[in-house]
Amino acid sequence: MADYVTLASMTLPDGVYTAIVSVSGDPVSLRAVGVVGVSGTRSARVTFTASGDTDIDVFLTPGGTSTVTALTVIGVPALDEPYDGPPFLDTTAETVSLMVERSVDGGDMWEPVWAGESDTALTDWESLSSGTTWYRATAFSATGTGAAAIVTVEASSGALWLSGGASLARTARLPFNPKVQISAGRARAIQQYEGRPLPVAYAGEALSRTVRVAGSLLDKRTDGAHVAGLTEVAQLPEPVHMYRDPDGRRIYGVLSEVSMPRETFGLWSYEYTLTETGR
Amino acid sequence: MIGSRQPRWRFTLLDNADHPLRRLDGVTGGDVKLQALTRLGGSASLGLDDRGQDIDWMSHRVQAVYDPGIAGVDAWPVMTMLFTSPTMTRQDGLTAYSVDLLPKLAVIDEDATEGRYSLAAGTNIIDEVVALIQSTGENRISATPSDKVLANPQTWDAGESKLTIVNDLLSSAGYWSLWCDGSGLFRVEPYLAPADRPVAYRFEAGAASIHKPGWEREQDLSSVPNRYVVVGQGTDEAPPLIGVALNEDPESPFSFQARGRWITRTETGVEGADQSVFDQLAQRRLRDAMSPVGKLSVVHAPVPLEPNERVAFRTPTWDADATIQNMSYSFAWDTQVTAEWREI
Repeated sequence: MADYVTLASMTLPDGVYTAIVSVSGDPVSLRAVGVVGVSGTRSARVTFTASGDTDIDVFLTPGGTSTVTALTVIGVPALDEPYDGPPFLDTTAETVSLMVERSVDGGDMWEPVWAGESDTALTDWESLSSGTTWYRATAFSATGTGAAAIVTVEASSGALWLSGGASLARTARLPFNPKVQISAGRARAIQQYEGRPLPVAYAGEALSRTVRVAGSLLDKRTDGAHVAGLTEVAQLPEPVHMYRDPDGRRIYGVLSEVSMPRETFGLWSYEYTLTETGR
Repeated sequence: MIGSRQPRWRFTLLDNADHPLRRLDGVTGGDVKLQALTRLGGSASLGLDDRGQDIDWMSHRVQAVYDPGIAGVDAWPVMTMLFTSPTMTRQDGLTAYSVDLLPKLAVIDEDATEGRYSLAAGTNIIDEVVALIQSTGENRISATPSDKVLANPQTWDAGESKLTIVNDLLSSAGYWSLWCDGSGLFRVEPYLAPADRPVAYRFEAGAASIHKPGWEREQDLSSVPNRYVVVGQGTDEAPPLIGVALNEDPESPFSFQARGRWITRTETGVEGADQSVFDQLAQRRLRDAMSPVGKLSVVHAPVPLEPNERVAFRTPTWDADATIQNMSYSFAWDTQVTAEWREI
């Protein structure tokens, strides 16, 4: 964290936002999301989705002679203010490509999110629904040199989220305090050999984790869970679904059939099991 | 090798020169049987889910490496084999393959001479064997050199398998039949009698045991003969010489007196100068046949062994040294080896 300067922190309700960071100077360098300018004023933007009340922090790499002049989050006018922080790293190389990565464990492990040409808007459907998701944007120049900036997004949804489909963009929000049971283990066996009083332990490399979820939902379409929405998610053709919960867990896996018995007028229950797999 | 394990299998796709191409993903199961006495040295099969592995079934090879997951113990290759034509299964939108694997000796076996193959007296046997193997396109060979030469000219018919020629030559030089180790290396080595082989592993009951408490020993006593007949080759003028040996010792459990019937074993086409040679040969054959070899069937944890190696078996109820005849592995992570040994 010491390598970055916090530009702003804010709390946002549900929605899709675009943050724009502007800098000026000669030469201009901007690494908030990896766009590097060679002169004049440039802006960089990152689009993100807030689930529930979302806290975001924007960080910049310090150094160089350029200065940040503005940080704007579209739809939050109060943040359209001049920035009076320290200058950050400059460079004279022009960005030709960007790579965006995500971390859900405070920066220990980074997952590739997107790579391509610069100046793009990115929507990430695999951020945490509760907790801090870090994004690292690395800009590469034509010479292959790179520079990175990190943006964190804070989410605090109190619901479970079940996602599926292409890019996991189809979601079912499951509030109403569902019951969750997680089972985890590793393949293990014992072998008994002649003359040894105790067996010998074998441990395989295969891991198992299943999440069993049971809760309630409504039969009418609402912002939260409803029968039609959960049915739609359950029947998506893509093989991998994603489970997210308010404790910050994010588990990819294969979804079982979703059982949805009717309980009483307007109220249904549901139950499913997600067996963890690779992404 | 005696502690707890974190075992795993690793499969590597190889090109037709045994160069590694990439890790073979999607293996769902299979098994391998390594055999000392079969012509090709074993067989195997593999189950695969289609994950776009881009396998050339006609030329690629696969190597299975077992890693016992024990600190300080290296993984070792158990088999390197060729693919055959796979059976494709399509179910619920998924494609899977089941494929039999061929030992690399098949490369030598399926190549044959186009014409009569003749070697002159004085030909260096092992040099000729290596050249024959190389003529099939295989170059990973470990050969123990020898200055043994052919005593007489030898000829094989057109279309004869090169493996047959190689093994004929190796036999005349006192070498093992051609075999291939787990890494896919062709081995050309002098034969060692079982009693002269070093012990490759001691399977010992107790604190260091790695064999299952349930094992079997079989010795076929019921077919031990009490009469042995050796028959020579007759001519138009003279009948063949015949040697007969009888077990009529009442103290012997195999004798006619003990069993009340004759159990005869006959050997024909025997070469011998006179009647005394046939009589002595019959006596020797009968004596040898009265010591049937014991066979042990043991299940043990995987250890780096090859067929024909010597092992020691020490238990409270039976001690023996034996040579490995067969070893069967499944490709399950917790596999145990089902082995058959022949007592020395």
